[in-house]
Amino acid sequence: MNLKILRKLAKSNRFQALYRRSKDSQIRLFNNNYDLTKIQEWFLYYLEIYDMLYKDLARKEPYISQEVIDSDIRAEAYLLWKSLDMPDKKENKKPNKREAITSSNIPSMIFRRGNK
Amino acid sequence: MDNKEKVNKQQLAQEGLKALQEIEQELQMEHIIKDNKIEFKSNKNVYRVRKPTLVEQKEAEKIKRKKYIELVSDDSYLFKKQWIEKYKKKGLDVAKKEKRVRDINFEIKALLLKLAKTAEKKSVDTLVKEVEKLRKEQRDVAIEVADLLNYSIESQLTLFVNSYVTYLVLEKKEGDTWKKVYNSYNDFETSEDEMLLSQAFHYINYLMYGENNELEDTEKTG
Repeated sequence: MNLKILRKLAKSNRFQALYRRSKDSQIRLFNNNYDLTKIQEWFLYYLEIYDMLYKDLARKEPYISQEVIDSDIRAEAYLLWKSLDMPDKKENKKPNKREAITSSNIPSMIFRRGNK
Repeated sequence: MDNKEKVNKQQLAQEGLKALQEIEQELQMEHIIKDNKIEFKSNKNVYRVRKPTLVEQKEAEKIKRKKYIELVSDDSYLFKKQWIEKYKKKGLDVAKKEKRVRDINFEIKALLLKLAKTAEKKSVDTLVKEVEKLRKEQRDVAIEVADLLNYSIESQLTLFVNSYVTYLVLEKKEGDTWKKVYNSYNDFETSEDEMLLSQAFHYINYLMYGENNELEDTEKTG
């Protein structure tokens, strides 16, 4: 099974946008809604993974960058580190009150406090 | 045109070809994931494989049970463990190879954890190369083990069930309808259309099993 190509599709802007919309039931990702095939299950898994990675990037979590997302092995490394309760996880966390999504390939959004 | 220019042109042509191949692969993958049926062409005819229905899955289970009894009753077939013992007597330690596959997982995990916290390009490249090297070794050893145990009852049973399911779900487009290609499993087994069968096996993998079953967990978790 060509997982490399599958991952490339899953992390693409187009499928990430489709995935987000499919969660609100606005559109369907597949022709079939149930009885998913093995490859469809894998695809959903990767869509979810990359959705999470892009969110972490937006939150400026430690050790995540666009380069990490672009590399399959580095993305795996980050996910493994994140899945374990690493002691340096909390130390490196830099809270951001104003979050700017600027370094991802996903269309960017800037959240600011209103001046009212 | 000087040599340097020639090389540059060749390089550009190769890169262009690679990019085109990637686009083609992506389109093919989109076609495969869009449904739980995969259509394909073979000898100018349109075929498809689809996910087996519950009734078909039950039928495959029943046939599997019968085949299992048949294999167990035949003294020329051995279980994996028995093959491992036989190989051991001949000086080939299959269990050790299986352990190596598992141990590599731990080595990869340790490298990945290091890689996760590394940003410096040179170190990143070195670690990525090390992981790739270990993955290759792991794949090679896993394939070697699978080849050695290919005639075991377990492997033969899996092979048989894959074939039987493919026979059940392989259909040909005739007008607006889909018809089963083979009327019996015997017809399927004795078919000489190797091209069609190899395409069907290839696509059924995407629907049901996944090619590198044993390495799936490694790929998911590193």
